[in-house]
Parts: sequence; structure tokens; C-alpha cells
Amino acid sequence: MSTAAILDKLDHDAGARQNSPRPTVMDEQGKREVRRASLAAVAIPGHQVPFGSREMPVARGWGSGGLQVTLAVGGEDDTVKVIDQGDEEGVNAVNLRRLIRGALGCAGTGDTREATIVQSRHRIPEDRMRVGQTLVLQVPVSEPLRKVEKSVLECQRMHAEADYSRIWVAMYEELAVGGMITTGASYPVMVNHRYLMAPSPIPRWDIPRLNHSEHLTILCHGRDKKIYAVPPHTPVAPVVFDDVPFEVEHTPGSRCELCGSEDTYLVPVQGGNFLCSDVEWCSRVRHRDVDAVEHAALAPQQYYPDAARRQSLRTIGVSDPDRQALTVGGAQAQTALGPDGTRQEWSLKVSGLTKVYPGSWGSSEVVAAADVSFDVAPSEALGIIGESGSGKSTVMRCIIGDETASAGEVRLAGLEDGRRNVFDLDLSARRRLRIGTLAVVYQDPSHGLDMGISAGGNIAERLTAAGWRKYHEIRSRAAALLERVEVPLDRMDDVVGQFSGGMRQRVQIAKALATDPKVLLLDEPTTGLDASVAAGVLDLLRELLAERNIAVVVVSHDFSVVRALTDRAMVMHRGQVVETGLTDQLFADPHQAYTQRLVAAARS
Amino acid sequence: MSYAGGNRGGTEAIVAAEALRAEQRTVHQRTLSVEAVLGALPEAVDRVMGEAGLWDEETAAVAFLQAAGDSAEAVHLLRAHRSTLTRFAFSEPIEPDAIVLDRRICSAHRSPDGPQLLGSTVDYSPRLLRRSGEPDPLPPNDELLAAMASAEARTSAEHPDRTPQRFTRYLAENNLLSPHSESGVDASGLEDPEPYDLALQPVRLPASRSALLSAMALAETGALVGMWYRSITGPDGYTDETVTVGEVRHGEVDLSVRHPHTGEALVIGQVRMTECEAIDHLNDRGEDPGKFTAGYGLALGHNERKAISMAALDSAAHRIRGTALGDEMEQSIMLTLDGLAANGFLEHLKMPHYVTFRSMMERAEAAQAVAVPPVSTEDDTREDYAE
Amino acid sequence: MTLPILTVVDLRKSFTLHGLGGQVIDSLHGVSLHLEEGEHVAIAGSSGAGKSSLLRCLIRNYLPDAGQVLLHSAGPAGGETPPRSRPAAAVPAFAPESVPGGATIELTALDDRSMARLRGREIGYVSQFLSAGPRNSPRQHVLTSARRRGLEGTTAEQAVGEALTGLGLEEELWGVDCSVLSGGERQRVNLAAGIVSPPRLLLLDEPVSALDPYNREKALVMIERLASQGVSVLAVYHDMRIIRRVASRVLVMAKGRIVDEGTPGAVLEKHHAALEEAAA
Repeated sequence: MSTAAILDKLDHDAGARQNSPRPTVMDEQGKREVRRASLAAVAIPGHQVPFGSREMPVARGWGSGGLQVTLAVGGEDDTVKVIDQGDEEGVNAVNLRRLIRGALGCAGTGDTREATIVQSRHRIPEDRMRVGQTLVLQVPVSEPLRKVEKSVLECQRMHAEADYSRIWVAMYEELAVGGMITTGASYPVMVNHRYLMAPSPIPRWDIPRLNHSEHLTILCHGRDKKIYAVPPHTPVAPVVFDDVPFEVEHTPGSRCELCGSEDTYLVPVQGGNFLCSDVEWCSRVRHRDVDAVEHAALAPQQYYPDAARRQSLRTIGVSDPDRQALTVGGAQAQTALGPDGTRQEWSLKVSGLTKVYPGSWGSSEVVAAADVSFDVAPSEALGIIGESGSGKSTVMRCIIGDETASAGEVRLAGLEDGRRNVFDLDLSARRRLRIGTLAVVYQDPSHGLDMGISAGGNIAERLTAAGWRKYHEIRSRAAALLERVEVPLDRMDDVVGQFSGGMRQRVQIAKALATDPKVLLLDEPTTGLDASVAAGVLDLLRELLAERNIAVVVVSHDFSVVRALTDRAMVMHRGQVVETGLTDQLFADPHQAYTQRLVAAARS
Repeated sequence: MSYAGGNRGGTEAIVAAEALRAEQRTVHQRTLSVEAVLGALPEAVDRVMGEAGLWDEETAAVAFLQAAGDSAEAVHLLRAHRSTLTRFAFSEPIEPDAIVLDRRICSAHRSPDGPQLLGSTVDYSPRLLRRSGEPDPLPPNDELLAAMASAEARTSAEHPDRTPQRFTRYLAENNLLSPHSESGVDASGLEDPEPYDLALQPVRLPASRSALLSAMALAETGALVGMWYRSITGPDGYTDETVTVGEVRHGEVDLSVRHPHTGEALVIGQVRMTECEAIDHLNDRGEDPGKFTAGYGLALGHNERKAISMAALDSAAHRIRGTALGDEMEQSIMLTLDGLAANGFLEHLKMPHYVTFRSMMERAEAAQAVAVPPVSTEDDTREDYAE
Repeated sequence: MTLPILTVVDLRKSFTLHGLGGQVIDSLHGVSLHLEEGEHVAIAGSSGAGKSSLLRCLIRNYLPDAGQVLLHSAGPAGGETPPRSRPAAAVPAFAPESVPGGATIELTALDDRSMARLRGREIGYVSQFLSAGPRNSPRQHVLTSARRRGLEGTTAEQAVGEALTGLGLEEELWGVDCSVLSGGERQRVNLAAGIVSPPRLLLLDEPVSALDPYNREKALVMIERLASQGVSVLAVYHDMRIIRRVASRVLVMAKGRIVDEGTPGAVLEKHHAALEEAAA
């Protein structure tokens, strides 16, 4: 088109606008922004794209997001269908249609086949949507992780790292506690095997229609200012365990009292009867204006609920293979490769670890850890003893990644055969290390556990993060672990927050060992427990370590803990390693004045 | 044959609802003029303009009238109206020190530079209902008159016609202001070269200081005050009650834009605004107790509650930046204070939800159908796992 | 043909007590000794002579100040080496049997990790005090020791049973917490952990001191049997009758030195008065 022609057209449009005054609902700049965001959303299916959502004449939560998309992508030539609950007669649908038609000057229709744009709240039309059509879904809550995580930053991190184990745990909990998934509409889906997405809330019935669809779906949340999309031919799968069937809404024997359909989404009406939620489809069935065969194929009949298949979900049991796997899994030691390709002795090697807290007003620089070096081999336990403020916990936190070291190296045999310095990894890679390579047991169980979910769920979190996707395998493995740490199995589905301190610590230990890590860090594992409870946990730890070829670091202020668990030990004082030796030798024959004081305190 | 939708039911209901609402208005918009609203209810109009983020007193008064005095509804009308407008230009930063003062309070100093200008306020007036035609229920007595006379004699000195020094400058001159407050730079290290415009951009976390200020300036006034108060008495503890008000100002400033061709800044009009500086002593662990920090608040029109709570929260947000509590606070400021979002989402609950509710109901029925077996702890349940 | 297993050369040990103004207490003043395979050598001496310190320096419960502790491996001709079925392949541990013709390790120069691995597997040490955790059962405690020495599964269980039975610990006590055991019972558990699948060299510090005559007899039978298994024993006993019964040779210590040595008959006769006084 030539410049002159464009100018002509602009003049003509402006003239037309003046002749028939259409309400301006949104300025062109805003529309352009929505289109740009929509394109970005199409480019990264399922990813929430933030955009400068404008205020609309309808309130936030009433379709202001969907309205912006329809106004931005639509034009005079479009034919728009607007439905709410599948019904174009609902007041909200009427109001939106009035606005859209008025603002765009476009045609309206109730017929899905004629529509170029379908704006909908809560439903996808029963009729198959086709190539070239766009479905705009209004979204009340765009963050699928909201129900498991309230922090926006944390949700962002989980999406960025595709770290969705918490959603799987939520599913696990529902199955373990209720024997079934209780999520109704708003069932989370994975889009293109990458992003977790909240499907507006359409009912589960409609979810299979998003999978490899011919049409484009754009979802928009005006209040939260997010747009996301499912482009045509994109895989969309409900989050479901491999061995637990996905279920859609279906009541056996129900049928629409108007059109007689059995294979549509039916909503209950007075007197125990049902009606099609999709009013258009219902009417067309009655006028024999539908392709019933195609629709029957489209209806998600393979997902009809089957109570019989749910029976075994709550059972708890430990299989012998699982029990054996616990010790067999620990049998493979892992050591690093040296520069010359020879096997080294260690699984974890710390060199020159230094942590300096810079001085601030009224306080001078604090060296919390100075040039700390050690390595630990498989089936060996190293103790780090010191009082609070000695720097032992700082060393531990730097290794874990809870704090950033000022200098030094940490190498793990489980990370590129020990050739990579852990400190060079970004935070996300360091978090991944914690899934299967480097496990931690904290003094405070609430740091290592989610107190709001069950003991089994906590272990499921680690297993699902490691990629486990079979409910029964997860449950059986979790039961075996809990049995091993002597947590009564009838408490497996109880919320950990209701457990005693000792029991919580046992659950934390079971979780730490769930993925057979090759390195285990124990940070004051029994501090804070009653003496008799602490003794029990210590004995358990001693047995567990003896069974495994795991490399262990135990940090404690308590000499008796280090004596019970370790072969070798280091004594730290004011950030320095002041003495090293065999643990019993340090206790029986301490050389440094500081160590002698510690021992004297421990003996008294 | 194509399907012809009905939708008459919905349309009729909506038209009827609109008609009923018009009928119930005993005093119609036309009899209560925009001028009357502006003259009698300026505080309400100011508040609506501030929360809407749109300075146009006449339009705001129209919205207020149309909304029957429901400020949330009026804000909605103005915001939706704003979306219809094309942005022709972005204004230059205003010069707050060029303000034409209407009122100026400095609580932090007995005799600050420039006057303590009480201006128009009910701060020190007894809140006694006074019906039309009734006499003053608390007329000045002899004692009060005498006090006023002597005060007048004492303070008759005229103040020079210039904007008084702001209290943060006074602190800076005495080397008592933290470098952050002096430079105004966002201490989080986030790039913040241009003010973040929430009318055009989505909320992003972490948010720059200008984004936090922008969210608070647009906030629903009650929500903002509530958040500030909650942080004092509630479980969050973002700030404490030791904040001191360095400046509260209300007045008029020029607004200018650059001419698209000449590049010169041209004054296109004036806005009224309320400004606040909240002073905090940096006496927490790790801070420099030799300094004060200042939080900043600015609201369109006359809205002191918003400006003060905003300034106190700005200071707190800066002080706890980067901590877990700071992250929480940022999320609260950016995502919970917008009245349009909160009210809209609340009211959407009135819409039909029977499709999603049906989905839940089906699950409830399914749950009843699941014959929940007693939890078995026996070892030999391996048959259950055979598949 | 006898083979050397342990040579100690000029071992010295003193303690500096920082809490007491840096006071130095001398313990060993240059101890040298030699032990052959299958030999049972007793150490006699009054209390404070340095007997326990010597054993502790050898196992590195004390860190010697100077001197050498040479552990000789059996070599190919040495015959019996306990099976090492523990996953040692992944652990490049001290493995003298792999050295043709035997090898000698200087223990005072060994790093902590190697020393920790060698302990229990090559040298056993039975102290006067039980080192089991309070919630550990006797069976668990002895089993841990057996596993450390390479026994697995039922073989380990069987060896544990034999050791505990041999020492006369009633079977109903095998599963209880060690904390509820009497002093004599604890000593037997401790000894059982020391002698189960015994290493080539055992250091025993007063192993039967808390036992009644009946159980002491049972324990001594078990200890005597060690020599026939080719285990070398270096032991501290208070009771001269025990030394006469089990030892093939006696070292007499006084003030941190070995002052005499020889067969029990000859040496104990010579030092009778001093030693009986110490034992009383």
C-alpha cells in the first residue's frame, strides 16, 4: 500500500469515526501494546507476559483483560461471539458484547462457526474451533502457583527454573489425604512441556480441547496485567501422575433435558435435571445443525471418572524392593576425577573458603571464616566443632548456598566429576544441586520441611523435584524412608507441623536421604531436642551413615554429637580452624587451649 | 442454517437496571451542577483524581456525580476514561520547590525556615456537628481571644515571598541526612532512570523506588492508610511509630511539557498537590545511627492522609529492602493497594459462577462416592501396587 | 616362623595443660617395643606408669609427640587375611596385603583419614569404657564393629551371636539399650565388639577388670583363643594371675619407660612386690 493510500485510508477512517461516533474504549497506543504482548505470549506458549493493562469501562475481574485483547486484535471486519458460562445471554456477556460491538463496529454472532473471535468466560464452545479462529479467555487468577506459593518473586523463580515440584506435591497431598484430586475448575496444565499455566478457569471437561488445538487461545488477566497464550498445535497436558487417571466432570446417566445430549458439559438445574452449559450447541442439536459424530469424538469420554480406579490411593505399605533399595542405593560411592584422570578420594572438597562481612558504622570488618579447607570421602564423616560465632555455620551456609562466600572453592564429585567450582554456579544451578547431589539437614526442621504438608508429601517434594512422576512409586518410596527413620506409618499422611520435634527431625532426615545424595550436611541435627529424643536421633543417624557410602559433614557446638557421628573433626574458633584430628583424639588429647576449654565444658 | 443467539434476556435486564437507577435519583445530575460539586465537595473530588491518576477537576466532578458519590465507582469511571485518551506528551518533572503554598507544616522543628502555615484545615477544630442555621457551638471565649491577640502581636513579622527551605535540606546542611536520601537514588541498585508509569506498564517485582511511589500515589487512600497502620500495630512490622513529619505541604505547581518542535519546556497548566517528607532515625542494627533517612509522599490534590502514609511506607520500604520482609512489603505495595483491582475483583464474585461451581460440585459428589478405605499400615499390601 | 607385626621406636608423649598455666605433664619418655604375630604381650606397671597412654598413642587416641609406630603387614606369606567384602574397591584405603612381600606403615605419619580407616580393620582397641551410644543395643554395637571389619549379612549376625554368647551375655539383653546394662555387662559388650572377627592386632586396656570371676573366666577363654587365630595382642592387666595365664611375654613400665621385659614367670617374680602393691 502506498503512503498516499494509507493516508487516504486514515482520512477515511477518521471521517467514518466522526460520522458514526463510536465510543473510544482504548487508545491506539494501548491496543498496540496488547498486540505486542499477545505476540510475545504466542512466541512462548504458556508463559505469562506482563503488559500495561489499561482500565476498562468494565471493572477489574469482570473481563477487563479479555476485553482489551478483543479490542486490540479485533476490527470492523471481525465477527465476535461473547459467552459467559457458555451462554451468550448472561448479563456479563451481553454487556461485553455491547461494548465490543460498539467500540469495534464489528458484527456479532452466537454461532461459533461464524465467529472470528470468541471471547469467553469459563468455557470453550462445545463445537470444534477451527483454523483461523481466536479464543479469548477472561482470567480471574493468572498465577497457577498461587495456591502453593504466595510470594510473587518465588513464583517467578519457579517458572524460570521450571521448578514445579510444589504443584506435584499439592497433587500428591490431595491423593494421599482425600484419595482423589479435588481441584475442580482451574486445573493446572503444562503447556508445551515447559510452562505451568492456569487455564482461566475452564472446567476440566474443556482442558483436552486446548491440547493440539487448531485455534489460537489468548488468555488475559486485566487486574494482574498478564497475557498468555496457547498457539495452535501446542501440547497442553493437565498436571497428573502417570499412574493416576485425569478425570473430567461427568455424572453417569445425566443428559440435557432440552436437547438430550449426553456428551456435553452439563450444568444442574432445578429438580435434579441438567442442561447444556453451551446454549448455542444445545439449540443447534435441537435443530439438527451439528456434526454429532465429530463432537462425540471430541468429548473427553476417556476421562470420565471411575471411582473403582481410585481405591488404592490411600493405602500405605512398604514393598521389599523399596526397603532394599534404601541400602542398595547407598552402596555406590562417588568420588571426583583428578586433573590426570585418576579417581580422587573425596566426594566433597572445600578449599580456602573465606567469608568476610564488611564493616559498617560502629562495627569493624568481621572475618567469619578464614581459609577453611577440608575434604570428605565416601563413608566418612567429618565434624566441625565450635561455639556459636566460631564460623562453623557460616562455612556450612556457604557450601549450601544460603550465603555467598568471599573467596574459596567448593567441589563435588557429583558435579562434573569435581572439576567445577560450585561457587561459579548461578543460584538456580546451586538449588538444583540440592535435589540429588548435596542434601542438608537443618537444626530447625522448618528450614528443611514444609510444616503445612504431610510427612509423605515432604518426601514427595524431593522426589518430584528429581523427576518422579508415578504416584504409587513415590508413595511407596516415601513409606520405606519413613519406616527406616522410625516414623510410624500411620502418621505418614499427618501434617508435619503436628509432629514432635524429634519426629520432625526424622522426617527431615528421610527427606534428605530420599534421592540418595552422595554428600550430606548435618547442621546441629539434634540441637533443640530433649536429651533422650536427641539420643534417639543420634543413634538413627549413626546407623544410617554406617549403612551408606555417603560423605558427611556434621556441624555442631556439641562435642558429644560430633563424637557420636564422625571419625575426623576440625575445631573452629573466631573463623579459624585451630585444630584438626581424629575425633576421639581431639576429645582425649586436645592440644590447643581453646579445644581444651571446649572439652572441659563437654565433660562437665 | 446458522444459529441465531437470543441474548434478549440479558439485554432487557441490563437496560431495566440502568433505568431503575436513573429513576431512583431524586436529585438528578442536571440539578446538582458540576460547579456545585467542585465548590462543596472539593476534598472528595481531589481524592478521586488522585486515585484515578487523572488531573481534571471538572471531569472528576462529573464522574463523582455520575457515581452518586461512590468514590470507588468515580475512580473507575475516570480510569476508564483515561484509557480512551491518547498520550500526546509526558510532562517534565515538576519543581516542588516552586510550589505556591496553601498550607505548610513542619512537625520536626519548632521554628523551621519559613512559616508554619496552617492554611485551610479542620485539624484543630472540634468535630461537632453543626446544622444549617445553628450558632457556633463553641464560640471563642475571652481567654482564647486574649491569647490570639498576644500571638498576633508576636508573629506579625512577615515572611519573605519565597518557598521555605524543606526540612531534608536542613538535615543535609547539618550532615544528618543519609546519602541515599540526599541523592534520592534507589538503594536497591535497580536501574530507575525514568519514573515508572503504572498506567502504561505492568507491575514487576522487584520494583524500583519510583514504581513503589507510583503505586502508592495511585493507591486507594484507605488501603494505603490501612497498610501503614497495619505495619505499626499488625503482624508485619514494616515500620514503627517513631516516624516524624518533616514537611506537609499543600499548594499549586506549574506543569510543563517540551514543545515537540522547539524542545522548550512550556507551562501548560497547574496542578495542586500534597507533599510529605517523613523522617526516620537510622537506628536499626547495621544502619548508621548518625543519620536520618527521609521517605517521600506525593498525592494529587489535597490528600494529607495519603501523602503521609506514603512517605512513612517509602522510608520503611527503603530500610528493609532486600530482606524477606522487604520482599513481602514490596509485593503488598505493588499488588494490593489499587482500589480498582481490589473492588473489581471483589464485585466480580456477584457474577454467575455455575460452570466452575458445577465442576467443584462434581468433585464433592465424587468424593462422597470414594469408599475411603481405613488407612492400612500392614506391610503386606503389595498387591495394591501390582500395577 | 614368626613375623613382626608392630615395632615402636622411642615413643614420647607429654600433655600441655593450658588451663593450668601451660603446665606440662610427661607421660611417655621414649618407649620402644616389638611384637610378633600371634604373640600376647602384657604390660604391667603401677598406675601412672604410662600403660594406657602407650596403648592410646598406638591407636592415636593420643597424638604422640615423637617416635615411630611401625605396623608391618603380613605379606603374601602371612597367610590369613580377613575377607574384605565391604565395598572397599571404591575406597582406596590402606591395603598392605596388596603389597608384594609385605609393607610397613609408619602410623604416626599417617593422615587422619587413613588412620581412621585402618582402625578397627587392622588394629582393634578395647578400652575400659563402653563407647556405644546410649540407645544402641549390644547386638547393634557389636554388629557395627563386625561390619566395619568386612562381615556382611548372616555371617555378621552369626559372628556377633558367637561373640556375645562366648562372653556370657544373656540373649534377652542383646536387644536392650546399652544404657540399662550393668558395668560388667557393658565391659563384655565392649570386649565382644573388639574380638568379633578380630583384626591382626588388638590392644586391650583392662578388658576384664569389672567382671565377676565366672564371667572373667569366660572372657579369658575368648581372649586366649585369639592367639590361636594368629591375632597379636598387646594388653594392660592389673591382675598378675591373668598375666601369668594369658601372656607369652611381659613388659614392665614405670614413669613412662619400659624398665624390664621377659617371660611372665621371670619378670613378675622379680617385680613382685612393686606390682602387687600397685594392683592392690
